[in-house]
Amino acid sequence: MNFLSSGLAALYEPEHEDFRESARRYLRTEVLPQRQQWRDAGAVPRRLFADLAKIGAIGLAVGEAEGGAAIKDPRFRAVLSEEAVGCGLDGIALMLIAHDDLGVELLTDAAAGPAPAGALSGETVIGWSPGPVTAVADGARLSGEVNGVINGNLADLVIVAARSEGEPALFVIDPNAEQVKRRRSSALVGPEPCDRADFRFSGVAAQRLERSYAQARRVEQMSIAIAARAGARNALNLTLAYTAERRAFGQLISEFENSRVVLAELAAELTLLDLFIERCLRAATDGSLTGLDAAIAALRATAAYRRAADQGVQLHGGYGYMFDYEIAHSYAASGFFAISAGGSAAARSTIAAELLR
Amino acid sequence: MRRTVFDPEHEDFRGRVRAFLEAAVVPEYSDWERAKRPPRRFWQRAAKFGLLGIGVPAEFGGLEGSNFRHSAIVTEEAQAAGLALGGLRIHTDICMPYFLEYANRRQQARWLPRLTGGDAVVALAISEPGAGSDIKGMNTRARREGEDYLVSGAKTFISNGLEADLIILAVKTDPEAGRSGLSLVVVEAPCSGFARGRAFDKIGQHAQDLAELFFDDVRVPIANRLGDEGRGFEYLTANLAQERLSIAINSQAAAAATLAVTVEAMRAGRGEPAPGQHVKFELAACAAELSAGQALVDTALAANAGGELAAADAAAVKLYCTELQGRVADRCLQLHGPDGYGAETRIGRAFADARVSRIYGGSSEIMKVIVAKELGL
Repeated sequence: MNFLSSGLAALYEPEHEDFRESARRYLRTEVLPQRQQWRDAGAVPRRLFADLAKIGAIGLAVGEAEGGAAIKDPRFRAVLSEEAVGCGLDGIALMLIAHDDLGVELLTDAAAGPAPAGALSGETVIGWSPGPVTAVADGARLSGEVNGVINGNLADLVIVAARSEGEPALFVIDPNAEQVKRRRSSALVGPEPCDRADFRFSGVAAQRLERSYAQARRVEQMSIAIAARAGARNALNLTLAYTAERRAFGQLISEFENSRVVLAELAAELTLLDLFIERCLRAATDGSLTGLDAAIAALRATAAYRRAADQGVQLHGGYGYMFDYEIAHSYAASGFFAISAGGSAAARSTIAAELLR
Repeated sequence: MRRTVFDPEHEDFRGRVRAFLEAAVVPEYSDWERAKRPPRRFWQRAAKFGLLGIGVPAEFGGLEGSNFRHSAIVTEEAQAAGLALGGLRIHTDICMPYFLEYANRRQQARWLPRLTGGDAVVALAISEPGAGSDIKGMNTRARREGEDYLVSGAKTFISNGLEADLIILAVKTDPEAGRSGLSLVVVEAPCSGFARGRAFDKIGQHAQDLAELFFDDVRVPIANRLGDEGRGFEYLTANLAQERLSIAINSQAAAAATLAVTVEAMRAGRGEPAPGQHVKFELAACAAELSAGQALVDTALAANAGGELAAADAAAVKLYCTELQGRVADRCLQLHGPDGYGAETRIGRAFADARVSRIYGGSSEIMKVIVAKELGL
């Protein structure tokens, strides 16, 4: 059985499923076979974005007026994330979140105008800094350092958070400017491949965005939650398949009572998680998603991914520690999701602030 | 808490080991990770220091007056320096006891000087593709032909497998006899019919050589058998308590190092804000758990030194300390943020390395089976 496909089925319309088919075909036939090579090289080729644009995987939350799809519908993004993470391309999912969910969305609105030229066709790549704020803005100039900028090496535009008069705010910079030094970030435990770069700025010109840091964090948390939820489902699916065919001590792993207890607990947790993610996605569709819900979704979905991947590795035994098995990729990726979008600390602090306002 | 399991000369040894690791391993550890194993040069330097002769009589090149606690110190100091030197533990804690307990004088005279002198790397090959911890499911066969065994089969997840010159191999000499059909032979590589697979691509433990081994009618002299034919299972289980204690010591030391690195990173520098209450509480909780783990490890170390570490107790210690390592790695990672998840950062390595501890040397589930049996269930 495929637990993944059953989860949010009620939420999707035929057009989402059509899109799922083309996303799946592209990711599994064009991208997945390159995963190892890109991982070894520590780099992802630029054409990934243009190719994704061709299958309609970019500009998913931008209205038609701004050059995007006909309707703003976050369900397409959810489908894309499910398909990328569902085949072990967690790093590619993060790159898409950085470019599209955050980049295109934050740079496209009534105030900012249409999407940056080339961003919707994937010829212009947008980078996003998920890390803590260490850069400082002095008027329209930015100084400091930002590590682990997603899409950092490919990017033509980079969005960073910097402190300005105490509060963090969002800025766009040109990564090719003279006052910017960038270099490839060192490799992560996971997920790889994922294009990341470290930046040093000294007085680089920066354009401040209208959108607040809190708004960006909400988008990021929701996107991370959707991807982590898909990762957790994928980990459980991988483990269900493995335990149902693998024997030890004369019986199938799935026949041991302990395995059944572990799998049942995970399935229960993920089923409840889906109800909440579904509520969040519906809210995001009509623009009513709250920061509180996005934070709760991120907190719970990333923890679920950690648990599902961790228990999945355990039930795979020694094979689970080897990258020949997909669960190892899930495990390596799940640790990064748990500390993305500010990690559990940022999520809890948002939730507590809402509760105690 | 003050530890009482070590004598003053152990502490002196600790200081020298620390200096050795800082000089001989720390500067090149990243290269080992890329090469996926330590270089031959390391084994020779370790031999010169005496690390490869721990517990071995001086006549065979052993380190005089040394015992398992010296080995524990090496493991603890390696982890404190952020190094996972599994291959060394395989040598001293896992393989050496077979040569000391079951090899005859002639075999000892032939192999021990090579092992203590850094001229031979050693591996223990039990696990097979599809069999894992299940010794009864083993398929590697050894049939007699004249003065030799002809060995055929495959082994997997073999630590030191790519580098090993001597391989202690578990084989079925009588496939019909179940456990009592199992024997141990020493394969001297290279030899005809023996091949090594590729190095495994693992989540962590990148400096650890781990490989598959293949045997196709490999001729092994019967004179290379350790102990009696058919007693392999007994031999394999006799050393299990110490093997599991060795893993527990490693996990405990790894978790302690992870906490130390995290405390250092969270401690406020000049002009920086102090860590918040949550950070302090998380670290304090880890510290309290680590104290409990250390007490457990030290009690087991003392029991082992007195030759009375029970199998079920060793299983409980392995279970507790490896699960503890997982919890500490997870909690500390949360406090570091994305910069801590680099494949070559202390925390990233700790997180990735830790995951296998709950699986190898008998998984947590196997440990629970053993403990439950001891409970009379």
